[in-house]
Amino acid sequence: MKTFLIGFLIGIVLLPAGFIWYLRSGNAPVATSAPPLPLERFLVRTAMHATIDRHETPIQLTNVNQDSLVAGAQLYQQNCAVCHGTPGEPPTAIAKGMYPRPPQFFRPNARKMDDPASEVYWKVKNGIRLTGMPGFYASLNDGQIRDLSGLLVNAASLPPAVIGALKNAPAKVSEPAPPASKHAPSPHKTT
Amino acid sequence: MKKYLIVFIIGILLVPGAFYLYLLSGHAPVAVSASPLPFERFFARLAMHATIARELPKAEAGPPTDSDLVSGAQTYRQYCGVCHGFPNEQPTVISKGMYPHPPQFFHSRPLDSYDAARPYRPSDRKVYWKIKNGVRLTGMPGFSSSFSEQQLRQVSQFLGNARNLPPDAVAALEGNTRKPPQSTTVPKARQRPASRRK
Repeated sequence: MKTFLIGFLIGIVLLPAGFIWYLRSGNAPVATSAPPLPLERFLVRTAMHATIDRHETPIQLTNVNQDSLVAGAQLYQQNCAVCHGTPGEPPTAIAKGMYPRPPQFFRPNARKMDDPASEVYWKVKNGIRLTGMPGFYASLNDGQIRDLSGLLVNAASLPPAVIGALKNAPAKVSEPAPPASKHAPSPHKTT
Repeated sequence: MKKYLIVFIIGILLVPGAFYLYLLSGHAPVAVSASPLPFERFFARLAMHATIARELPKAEAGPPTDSDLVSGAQTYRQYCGVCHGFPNEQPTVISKGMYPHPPQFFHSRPLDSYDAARPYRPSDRKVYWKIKNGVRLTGMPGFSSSFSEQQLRQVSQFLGNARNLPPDAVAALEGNTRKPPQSTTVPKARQRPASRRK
């Protein structure tokens, strides 16, 4: 019985101790270009999907129309484009340098945006910790998060006006834009 | 002896197994507002500091010139401010939503006044390392493939002297077209790095 316990305890302690020793050694991947730990992606995806499945509330995106898409596009321009890209533009230096890489929603051969609306909504609202993805629950209201979600689930088939809004927010200032946020100027240069 | 080995193996498997089940359960913190796992910060800091200490560049970049600080400020404005903030401005919506929170280098405060008599500080090698390599699982990008060696150095020098910036660097940091301060509930405009060339 005593051997039992001792063997058991040593077994339990061994792995965490080895892990700490590894971290202390200075060999753990810290740079964004370092390769991931074994099983890292697998474990992280498992946790993310399990948690989102458990917490998400099913939402229906009703009333997705040109206006809501343009509104979503403007929000996207201001809050998302810096990491997730805009149509026809290469990924930003910021996006290229991050680990994990933020998915580029408008690259021609990008991963299809095939997440269901409820999941997109959950991610925009709550963010994903340890990825750089912010949660916008405190900054955007429910309607805005819905507009963004509507834009993203339709990312592959957007009308030209919406693409225009995605590429160039300042051009839209003249319109009585929905949840308007002034102009979205990129202060200097560009083009 | 055999019994011993079996319990030993069970013991080894127990912790990872329980951890995996925990992740599967859907209770793991995924939302940015969820509270961190026990020891998460401890482990993360341990690994980060150990690795950076090991890979620290040997030579420290010397103190900057005024024009280094101006260039550093321009680069900061384009690539860093969206998360790390500007003087006199509230943290952006993006930075407020992230976990971990990006440190706010200007604390939304006014800048300290410039003291021309005070010598500039050399750049911090750890800061340089972070700008160059990034910090995975935080959102901090590594700019090694986007910035030149000189830009990396200038940004780290700029940050090292953020409390004592000459007027030209302040102007570069603030940009020529200042946005009016914005309320925190309205999405920000200036959040996008202006330049896409590169």
